[in-house]
Amino acid sequence: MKTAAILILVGASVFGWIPPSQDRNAEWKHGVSLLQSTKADVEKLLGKPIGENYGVTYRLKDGTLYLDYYGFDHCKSRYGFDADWNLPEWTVTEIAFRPDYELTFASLRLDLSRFRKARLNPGVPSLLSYVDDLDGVEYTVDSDGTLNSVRYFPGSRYDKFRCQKR
Amino acid sequence: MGTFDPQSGTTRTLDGNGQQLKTATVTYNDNTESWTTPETTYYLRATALGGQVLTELNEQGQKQRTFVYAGNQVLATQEIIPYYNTQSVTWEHRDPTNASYRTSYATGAVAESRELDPAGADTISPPVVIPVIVVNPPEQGIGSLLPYPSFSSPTHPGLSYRVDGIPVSIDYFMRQVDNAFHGPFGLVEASRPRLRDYQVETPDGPANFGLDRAGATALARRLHSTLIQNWLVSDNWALDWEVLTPPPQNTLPTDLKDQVQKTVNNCSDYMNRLLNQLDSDYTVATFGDLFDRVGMSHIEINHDKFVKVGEPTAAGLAENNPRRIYINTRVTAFATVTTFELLHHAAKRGMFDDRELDKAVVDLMGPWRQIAANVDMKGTKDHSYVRSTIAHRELNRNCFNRGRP
Repeated sequence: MKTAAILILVGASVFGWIPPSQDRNAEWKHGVSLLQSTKADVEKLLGKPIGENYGVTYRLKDGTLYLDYYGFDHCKSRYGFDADWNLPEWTVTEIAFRPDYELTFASLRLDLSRFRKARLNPGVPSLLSYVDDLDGVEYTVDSDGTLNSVRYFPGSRYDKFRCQKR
Repeated sequence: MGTFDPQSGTTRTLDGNGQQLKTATVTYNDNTESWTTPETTYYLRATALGGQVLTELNEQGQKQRTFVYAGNQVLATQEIIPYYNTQSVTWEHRDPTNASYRTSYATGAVAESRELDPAGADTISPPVVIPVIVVNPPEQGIGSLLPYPSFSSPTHPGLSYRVDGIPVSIDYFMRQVDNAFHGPFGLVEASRPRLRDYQVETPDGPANFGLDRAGATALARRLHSTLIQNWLVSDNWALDWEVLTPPPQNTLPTDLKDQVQKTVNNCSDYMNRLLNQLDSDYTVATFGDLFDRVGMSHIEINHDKFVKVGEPTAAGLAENNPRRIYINTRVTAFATVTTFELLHHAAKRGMFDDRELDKAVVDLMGPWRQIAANVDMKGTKDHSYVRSTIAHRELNRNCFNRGRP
């Protein structure tokens, strides 16, 4: 079993068969895991952010990372609002990244059949979004095919963590 | 067999939206056996009130009658009394079911009272002409939230009247409204919506919802909290109103860059925090460079662009490759719209999209408001989220309308 795993890793590095998008996703998340990492984990990894409370910004070498933390304690309602996730407060619920470098969306070689294509920004109609509702990924692409930003959110794959509807 | 000739005639003139701009009424005078000179009434409408008629003017431009609204419902009328040329205010009071109806003079004396049956017919009074025009019927299920003096509604507890944040009686409040809205020239001098905004009391202090009544109401219900309607009682800012049909603006002010800089200088602390939260390289001090990044020649008024992208009523649009800003016709607040659109262009590379601007303004809020805004951004059954609405609301609140009453 161990040998097989080593062979796979060696094969991956030699033949490069791991899809580039997976590499990119790991790179863009900068070690932060959706619905797993907590504020303490993130600050240990990346230090103190810009902003406080539940939405923060990290200025990094290769771009800007925006994070949202969960504002409820598991499924307990707060301020009259119903909680969404059976997770501890301060768990990362959204990761967005804007690379400082230029990259074409095509170079990600994504399987576009998994993505919903939509114009979601009425104020910037030239931006096109490619959304994977299952995994929870949104790529925003400019009219010249350049990747504008990428956002990771809890897709339907994560529904098991949702609080029961009241 | 007799024939009946019309004894009077009315010509109505409508604008492009089908709204009445003026009426010209002629009456047949039996004594002189001739038609009278047409009496023309012009209607001044307020775009900020959804195009509702604000004031009726005669041919000389003199005010004949002014309406004060609560939502879509007429709250009061103010008329010029012929010969004396003085103003008379009549307040309209209805209970939430519209079953009871009173009008009263400014002194508080009852002018007219009626009890209506479920069909709206008057059950106790002879039919008379009601000196009130409801231009647009109230939206179903909304109506006025204002409790009137003797008809306070138990379905809307917690509503109060305040002037500069101080609770006052409704009589005092109404006098303030009347005094502030009508100046020595007879015309309405106030220039902004009567209803300024909705607020909800929260554990973090009042949360401002602008004119988003649905959002404010939903939150007040969730929190079992107080819903506050803030009404303007003093205002000298005269640029928001659209009188009849002003010609569309086709040219930008040549000093637009200076106006934009002035706009951001007015809220430099908030704007710098916002740009920092976005991780933009720009600041208020370098906002002129941001303006130049787009360039005056790439900012244009072009309604066709809005139609083409399916946003015919939006105020502004931002575009990349090359960087451009489009401003819709009928926009008069060029500096405000340009400033907002420039924020899209403030990214180090590419554009900040609507959601990123929304998120950045939310990140600047206190914890409670962040949670509330994040609930908004998810979209709920009674309050669907449209990207950029939160950013517009917060920029108006913290920057563009800052310092105004």
